[in-house]
Amino acid sequence: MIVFQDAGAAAKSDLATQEKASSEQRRQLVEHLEQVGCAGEVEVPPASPLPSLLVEGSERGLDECLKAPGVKEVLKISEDIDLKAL
Amino acid sequence: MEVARYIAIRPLDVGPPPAAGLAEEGDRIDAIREDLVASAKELPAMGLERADRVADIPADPSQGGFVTLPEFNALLLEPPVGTPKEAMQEKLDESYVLARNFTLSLPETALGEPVSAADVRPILDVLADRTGVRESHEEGNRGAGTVVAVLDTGCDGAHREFEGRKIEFAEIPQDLKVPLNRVDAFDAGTHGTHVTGIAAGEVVGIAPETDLINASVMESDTLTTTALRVMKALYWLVELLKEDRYKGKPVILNMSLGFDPNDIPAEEQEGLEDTLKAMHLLIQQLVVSRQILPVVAIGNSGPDTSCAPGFFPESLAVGAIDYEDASWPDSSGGFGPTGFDQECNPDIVGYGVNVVSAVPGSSNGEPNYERKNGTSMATPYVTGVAALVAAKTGLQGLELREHLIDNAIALGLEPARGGSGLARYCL
Repeated sequence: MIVFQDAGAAAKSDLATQEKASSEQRRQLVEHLEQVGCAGEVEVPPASPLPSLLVEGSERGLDECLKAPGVKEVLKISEDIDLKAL
Repeated sequence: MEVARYIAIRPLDVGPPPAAGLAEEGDRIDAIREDLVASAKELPAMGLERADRVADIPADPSQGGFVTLPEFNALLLEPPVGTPKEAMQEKLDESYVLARNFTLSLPETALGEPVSAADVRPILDVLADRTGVRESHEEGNRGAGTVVAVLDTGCDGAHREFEGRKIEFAEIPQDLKVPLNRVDAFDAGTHGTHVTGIAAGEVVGIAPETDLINASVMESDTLTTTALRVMKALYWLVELLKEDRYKGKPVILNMSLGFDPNDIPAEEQEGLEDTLKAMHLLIQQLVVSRQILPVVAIGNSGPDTSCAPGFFPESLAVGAIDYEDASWPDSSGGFGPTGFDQECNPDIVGYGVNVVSAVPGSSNGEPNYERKNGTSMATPYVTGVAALVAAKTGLQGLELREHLIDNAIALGLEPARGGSGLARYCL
């Protein structure tokens, strides 16, 4: 699944500002997952310069990601859809 | 409709007895052939006439044919379209086992035609001067100061086309929990080397001095990947681009891959909308946050089809023409699904027919090359041209996209076949 953060104005700012915002939101996400006892159910990668994170975890973890501060949207990526060489 | 092919095979002890010795082998094969024909005497009544070779079976799907395979004590059947398997089974001896022979094939683009290294022409001899590539090279602009990132099957970094080049490479595993593999560049197939060669090879490439980044995201046997794997590669790419050596450099992302949402069977559509939306948002973020220009193949399924991520509005969707400026019939075109794209695809076209480029390995000491067709091949042409333009102008992301569209060579093709025209280096 992919977690899209509510990066707001940071989305069009310079990369360093974006990464700082992304890092802070990642911290909030991890903190929330710890508070609700879901930390072990979701694998959260390091912050990237993009206002989104590619995470992997359980259905419950996905629901909890959506409740974390600053998270705007959580989308589940289907593993059944193949992209082919053209 | 697809023509089915069947193998009807029977045990070795059915038919003429085994040969007593090698001297009799030829006679035995002839005897088996005659026996096979006799056993198939009722097939012509079903529209299956005997043919000497598979190639002699009529191409008309309303007609059929069969050939004998005496070495295997078997028949190869190609019935008229719509013939039930059970009906053929009834016409044959009970000793036959009748099996559908599914064709195992690679996508058309993977089936390249080998080209001798001695016959490979430098890119400036292949492209017309109006593409501007010659002008760019003669000005000394060969793409230096830009970055081309390719997501594909990989790239044979040892090929002569990339000699002396440093290719930043990662093999992106299917499983997210498995760390990506940073090794010397290799190709799990041939597609990625071919694509990378067109964009940035030394002899056949358009921008041979660009910085190359390559991620292997495709399975070599199926030439497919997943949205998840592509996204993982994109996150790796933005991490890598944080390094000082890439700061300020225009980045062009080549994706000669995609899927048509209309091809996804109804029973597998769950999650399709979320997956499309996730891919689209991520592409938007790449474009907005890092000013990356995604150059993406629109597909090889002909008119009124288009593939994601090519049809996203931020992508520069590429269709294929031949060297005579005719639209390649299999090149996709038209509108993407409602909600994702309101523009007609492709945005632009490149050369995608009989394109010669590198493939992995060497033969008799000479590097391997192949001729391939596809929007996969047209896409790196546009990527290479984009790198030349970016190197000279410093344009990035959506501005670079707009410049390429505005300065394309109009070909007189309808928009769904030719977009704004052929990409060219024009300042």
